[in-house]
Amino acid sequence: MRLLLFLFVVFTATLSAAPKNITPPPDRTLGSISGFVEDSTTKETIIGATLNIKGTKLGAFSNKSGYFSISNIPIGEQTLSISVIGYKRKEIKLVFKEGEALKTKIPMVSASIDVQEVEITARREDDRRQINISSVNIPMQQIAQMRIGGESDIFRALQMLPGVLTSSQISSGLYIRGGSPDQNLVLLDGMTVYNPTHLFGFIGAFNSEAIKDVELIKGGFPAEFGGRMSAVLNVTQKDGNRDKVEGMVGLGVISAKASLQGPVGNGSWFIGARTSYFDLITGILPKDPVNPIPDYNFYDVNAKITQNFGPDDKVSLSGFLTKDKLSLAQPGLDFSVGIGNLAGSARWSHIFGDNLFSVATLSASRYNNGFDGNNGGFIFGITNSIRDYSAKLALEWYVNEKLTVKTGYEGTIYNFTYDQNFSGQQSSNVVDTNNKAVQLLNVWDNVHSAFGQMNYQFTDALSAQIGIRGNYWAKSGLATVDPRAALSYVVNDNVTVKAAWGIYHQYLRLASLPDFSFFDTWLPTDNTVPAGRADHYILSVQTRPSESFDLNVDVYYKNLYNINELNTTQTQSKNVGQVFYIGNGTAYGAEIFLQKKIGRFTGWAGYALGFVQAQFDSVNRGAEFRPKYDRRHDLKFTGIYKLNDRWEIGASFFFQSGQSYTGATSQFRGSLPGLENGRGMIVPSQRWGLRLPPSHQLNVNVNYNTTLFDLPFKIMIDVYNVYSRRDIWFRFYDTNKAVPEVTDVRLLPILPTVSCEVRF
Amino acid sequence: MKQSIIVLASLLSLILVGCGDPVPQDYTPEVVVEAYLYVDEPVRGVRVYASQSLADSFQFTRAMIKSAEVTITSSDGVIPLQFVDDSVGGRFDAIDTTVRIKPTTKYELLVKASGKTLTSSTTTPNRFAWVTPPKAQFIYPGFANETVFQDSLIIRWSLDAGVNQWLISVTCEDTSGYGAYVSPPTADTNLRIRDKERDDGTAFEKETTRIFFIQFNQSPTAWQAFKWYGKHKIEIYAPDANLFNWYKATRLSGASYNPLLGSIAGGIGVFGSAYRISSQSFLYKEVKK
Repeated sequence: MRLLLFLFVVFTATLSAAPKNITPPPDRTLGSISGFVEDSTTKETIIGATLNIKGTKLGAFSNKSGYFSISNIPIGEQTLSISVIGYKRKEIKLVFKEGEALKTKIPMVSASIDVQEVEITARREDDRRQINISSVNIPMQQIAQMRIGGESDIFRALQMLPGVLTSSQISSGLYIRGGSPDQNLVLLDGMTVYNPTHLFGFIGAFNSEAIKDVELIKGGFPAEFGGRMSAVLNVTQKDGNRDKVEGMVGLGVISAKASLQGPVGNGSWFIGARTSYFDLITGILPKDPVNPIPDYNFYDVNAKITQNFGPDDKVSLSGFLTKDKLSLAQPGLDFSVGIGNLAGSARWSHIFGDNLFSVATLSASRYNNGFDGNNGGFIFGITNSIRDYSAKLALEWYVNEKLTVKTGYEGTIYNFTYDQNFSGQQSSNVVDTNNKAVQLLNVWDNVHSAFGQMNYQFTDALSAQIGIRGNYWAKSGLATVDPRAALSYVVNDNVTVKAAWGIYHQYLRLASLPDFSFFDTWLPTDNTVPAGRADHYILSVQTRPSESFDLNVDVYYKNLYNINELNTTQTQSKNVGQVFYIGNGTAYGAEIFLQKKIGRFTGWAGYALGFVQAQFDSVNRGAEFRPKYDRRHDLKFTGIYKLNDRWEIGASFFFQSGQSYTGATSQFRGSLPGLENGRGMIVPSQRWGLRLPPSHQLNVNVNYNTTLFDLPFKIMIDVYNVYSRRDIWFRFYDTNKAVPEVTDVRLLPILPTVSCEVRF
Repeated sequence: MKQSIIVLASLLSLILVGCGDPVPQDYTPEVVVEAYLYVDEPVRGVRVYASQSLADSFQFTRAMIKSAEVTITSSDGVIPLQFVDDSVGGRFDAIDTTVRIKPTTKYELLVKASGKTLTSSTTTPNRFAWVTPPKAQFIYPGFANETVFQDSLIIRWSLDAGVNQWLISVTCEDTSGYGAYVSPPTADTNLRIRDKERDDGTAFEKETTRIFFIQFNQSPTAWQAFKWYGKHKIEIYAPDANLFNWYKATRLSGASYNPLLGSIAGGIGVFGSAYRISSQSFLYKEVKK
């Protein structure tokens, strides 16, 4: 803890000194401008808008709050150019007076596709202080078009990026550059979300209707993010329409959804919800008491309310709730599973002067799951949860046109609970002093982190981002320091070379099965396991072959230390070290990503070549192996074409190397006392040493826009797995057969669906 | 142009129907040992056999290594074993059946078979006893009432064995006879409780025993433990770690053997020990109202 305080103090002191040393004193002959970029109709702030003072190299991006700041602007009349995808490019003539700091709101007018093609020229490198490496923004319009069963899904869209893999087509867990899903930091309005899935991982839990911005950083993320080893998924919810009340109701095969938003006071509100209705359908089917159909239901709610208190203060309250419930009641077996997230945050953004932006966030997040049952009179159950209560403060100082500084603190109190009852009786009836059938664990811990990072533009071409993050974990008494660095070199207007390096520590571990999000259990690092660590090395070439296209090539190498595999042999674990095997690994590869964000046709093509190797003393007899999700080649295409105002067609296709499986070298019969025939078992060969045939799939989506009672009405036709390629989910040896048979369990066939939504 | 399209289409087809690795047919034999020592009982039923090719059905008679040298020793000396033929290919039993396994004693196993030397050791658990044994007679409550908890049917045993995980074994001792055991005797025959057992089609279909683990020294009567009505033997095993791990390997894990759950160095299998207590019960058929 003292180390952290020391780091924080030293860094803050350094920052205080920095402007004196590396920047000239404020030039009173120069002006500055800061403010927010927003949608002209809804007044929703816009993230990632590019602002530029024409004829100069001065510029900025609007941040996650829509805020920007440009300083050291020569006095006199200047033209501020603003462009952002989906909006008409705008130019504003402004007169800067000596020492004047302008504050403004810039409304942007939504553009039709035709206009975008001609007018939008997003000049990404205008703010050369910013170094976004391995970062991908998928426009929400594209995410909305990537659906399964009528359900647009952020995770499905992200899975279509090169280098982002899943354990199967029916899983939402993202394996990014050799990292497992628990190594990704998932943030929703600053809240950590621990299991953002429904249907046991089949679809994501983020309602795309409620989302404004999705950013995935696949590696090399800056010091402001921490606590995870692999990637950051930073999701921002909509603030809501500040101008008028509007809503949407949609009906799909998987779920029905509705949202409503509107103005309130000096701000806005938004609420969106989804619910499945399998239970309604099964409710009208004939009942079979001996073999009943299980009841299943999920729902989620996103809500946000935002208020401005003057031009410099904005407060928003966000909430997120999900619940999945599966239950089965049949003679001899009662069974129910419940999984849910509940998270809320309060954010206060405040602007000090004209160039210091601060965000303070208080958040709480809970993820819990559990199952309970009664098997022929034997009662059992497990529930577990993780809660966090976090306070974050981040200061973003736009010192001058060459330097930005960001520093902050994060403190989190964690509460882990685990309640197990395998006694066969109600746990309240059990006095279990010597056994482990009834266990109730309740562990509290707290984690503190401080970070500082500065972006400095040395020359017109060369910029650097240097950061450091200190972490202290109270329970294990562990202090770590994560240095991060990135460089950017602008070769010419269309080519930029970037590099990043960083050390990333992870404290939380997830006990989970790779194919199902069924009973995920988050655990802290205790004294029996070391903290996980990854070292990232990334080299990226970002180019713009034409005005409409971005072409990026990333090469990465990661050393992975103290990663974990679930120890499935334990029936009683006394500490974290008994839940996991701990090992090391490496991941390396290259990705090519061609993206077209504007025009009638949008989409991307991507190819990734990846290698992952792991070594655990207790796995595969200590020999190195590639994890199951390692796929050598990963080729993906997505495209959306807007034919006219009524018709829109989208398609996505992927082709991947087959997933790994484990073969066998012989068979035997494992018997037990009283079981004389024994069970057929196989002796495994090299773990995950063989590959299944390649996976590939084509999905097509068609939108038809029309009206219903004069209201905008959209009919969506989705065909999942168009040519019904039933990839292999997993392969096993069926040892119940007289001669063991290699048996393949296959994934879903073609699945055409129709859904609709109406807006008002 | 046409040629290019054909070449491109062919290439695309080739990629899309591309194969993964072929399923390997290699056979690498391993020596498998299964040996259990029960406190207060003589050594019997040690099996030593070779794992078999996946291309053929498994038969113990073909797999058994009759020529294996099997030695079990303790601080009291060597327990001599001999090969005995039986209907499932044979086993190794103690020559002197008056030699009984002692509690809390370390035993070592040495097997020489097929040019390999396999070793292991086990320390036997202590004795324990029933606190509340199963009732001698009880009535099946009916399919619809299986989940109704009945406090009166809880069984309990002492904690003296020094373990905290036990195995419960329920064996039907006569799968055909039923009326002969009731008073007055009838001609009623035994039958399966459920028309369609969930484990039908598996290796356990033929077993008359069901075996479960529990982490508590008491258990309610779980009706799923019974496959038939009638005469039953209910046993509680206090297993050592080796036997309990083997239970996990064969019952709780998939069909793929996990070497971490075996206890034989140089091969596959288990050298485990247990103390077991037993009780007889009779399960009456549901009384129709």
